[in-house]
Amino acid sequence: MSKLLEIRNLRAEVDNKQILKGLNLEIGAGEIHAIMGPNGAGKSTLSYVLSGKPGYTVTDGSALFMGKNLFDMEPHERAAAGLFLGFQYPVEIAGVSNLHFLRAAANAQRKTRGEDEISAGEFIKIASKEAKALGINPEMLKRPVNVGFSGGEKKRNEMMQMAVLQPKLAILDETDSGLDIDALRIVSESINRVMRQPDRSVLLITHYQRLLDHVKPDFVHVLAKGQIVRSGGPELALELEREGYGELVA
Amino acid sequence: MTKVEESRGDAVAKPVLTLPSPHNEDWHWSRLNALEALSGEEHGQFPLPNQSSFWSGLTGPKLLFVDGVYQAEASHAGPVKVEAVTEKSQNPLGKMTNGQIGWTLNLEETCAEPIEILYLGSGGAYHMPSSIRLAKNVSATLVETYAGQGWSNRFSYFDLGENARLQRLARLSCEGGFTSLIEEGSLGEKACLITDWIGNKGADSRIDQRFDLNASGAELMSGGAFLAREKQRHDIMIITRHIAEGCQSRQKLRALADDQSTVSLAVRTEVASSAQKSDGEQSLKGLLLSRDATVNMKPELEIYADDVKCAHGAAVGELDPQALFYLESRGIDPEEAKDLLIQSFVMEAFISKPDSLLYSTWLHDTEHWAGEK
Ligand SMILES: Nc1ncnc2c1ncn2[C@@H]1O[C@H](COP(=O)(O)OP(=O)(O)OP(=O)(O)O)[C@@H](O)[C@H]1O
Ligand SMILES: [Mg+2]
Repeated sequence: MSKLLEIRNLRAEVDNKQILKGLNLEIGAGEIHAIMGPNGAGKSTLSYVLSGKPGYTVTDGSALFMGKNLFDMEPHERAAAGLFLGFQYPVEIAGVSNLHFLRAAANAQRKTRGEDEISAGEFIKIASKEAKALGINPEMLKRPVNVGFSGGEKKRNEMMQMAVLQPKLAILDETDSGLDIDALRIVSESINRVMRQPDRSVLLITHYQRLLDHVKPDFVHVLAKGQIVRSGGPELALELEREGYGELVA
Repeated sequence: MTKVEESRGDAVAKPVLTLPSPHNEDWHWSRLNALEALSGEEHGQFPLPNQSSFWSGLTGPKLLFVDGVYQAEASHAGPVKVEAVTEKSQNPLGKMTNGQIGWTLNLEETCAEPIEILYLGSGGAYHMPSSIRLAKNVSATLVETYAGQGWSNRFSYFDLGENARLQRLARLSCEGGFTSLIEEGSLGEKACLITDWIGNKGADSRIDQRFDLNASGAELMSGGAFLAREKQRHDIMIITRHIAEGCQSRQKLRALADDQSTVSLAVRTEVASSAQKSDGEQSLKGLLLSRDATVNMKPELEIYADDVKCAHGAAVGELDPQALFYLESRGIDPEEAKDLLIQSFVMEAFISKPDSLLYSTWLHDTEHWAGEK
């Protein structure tokens, strides 16, 4: 199977502090991978390095996304190429409506790819449909991005963005944290619906098995001290849930 | 392009300037010496901008002035009269308009359609007063746009009767030169004056709004967004005195300074001991887009009554890098991301109801500024 993402010996630092220390990971098209690991291991750092957040410096190694060097691209170009980051802490943007933001994003991606823009009318239809599927009140589309949203609403909003933008690779950083039981199910359904496709892949960063009950991973990895220290199938998550990280992080 | 009428009377002969200097002004105000040069210049040095882009397309009254001269053939004045204005200003800049021809609006009944006034300048100076009187329960909407070049020196007097309501937008859209707006007047019981200013182009500006709230329940709402770049300066001063009971005043000003520009915001609210149940809010925010830009702020509250609600806040910051990255991570390029954040920042300053013509015009102007960079 062709690789959607290939990370080789990735080293990265933030504020002169080495966080990723030779990380290797391959994600094939159509696969769902989960990354688990203790707090502070570098999971969010990996997601930021891949999406190009300023302040995160790659000091060694490479990342190929659909055969292209990810680190040669600006963050918005990575998005247009099909990379999506579901933030662990979605950012509030006062004064910009959700709908306006989403349409700007969708059209910017289309523009970068040389495609035609979506009209406002057509876009409202798409966004409303996705909002409905996620149990998001359509009124929330008019509200400023994430401002005053509850923790769970912010995560649903991330998923709505994913559904509208239709990425090739979604890195979902603790999308399950802060979700109530019903929301977890709804969000999982939308991940499966949007991303469970032969040409799409997901990297789920999570602490809990309960998300993996709904979105079944093909591979599970443990990230500790800046490296992937163990990889396995879905049974690895169950084992970690039973036994903790123990030796892996010692 | 509109032809400039040459029929200017003696009344507009060059006035002797007695402008305040930094000696008798007490704060970060820009020097006014440049105005001496501007006032000595001839009209007609610059081509006039195309006026069509400044009209809304609605069918309400429209007045066009070119270098301070009324263009009857390009206007339909409706209830507005072009004539001498009796109200006088004591303000050093306002004084220069005293006795000049300007316009008056005296409304006994509500005017449903917005009144639009466009001032085009081709260089040189003009000094023009105006007076608006709204009778009891009357409401009106006014859009004034300054475009082109030169020094537009405007004194506006407002007299709102009981329960009258005026919503106005003042667009400072001159490419260069100077725009000075001196605003004074009187508000009756429960009268409401809502002003939104937007400075989105290259001219320096000075706004001086002073009101005494002498009738109970009067409301004075003033919002403004001032976008400056290069060596541009905007100086805004609002002084509001609450004298009667139960009045409301709100100032929401946003300053956006790029390059080596400076925006100064001074807002002073005084609440006299007679002004119980006053409600005052000052909200000043600045956004610096360059290391060499300056935003000065001076929020002042002076309260002598005990039962009042007054809040003030002032903050200067930079664009939020977290927000920028969030937008970029969704595919929005860095320039557009910046523009979106700038728009969201200035948007807060808009006070008039968000579904109006004023809003769309205001929005257009902020987009225009952002898009130009
Ligand atoms: N700006 C920074 N300066 C210094 N250290 C940082 C900075 N940002 C992150 N770190 C450190 O990098 C390490 C990895 O952080 P990261 O957020 O990637 O962890 P994580 O695996 O996502 O943890 P969690 O499970 O708690 O979300 C942590 O020790 C964190 O304190
Ligand atoms: Mg994390």
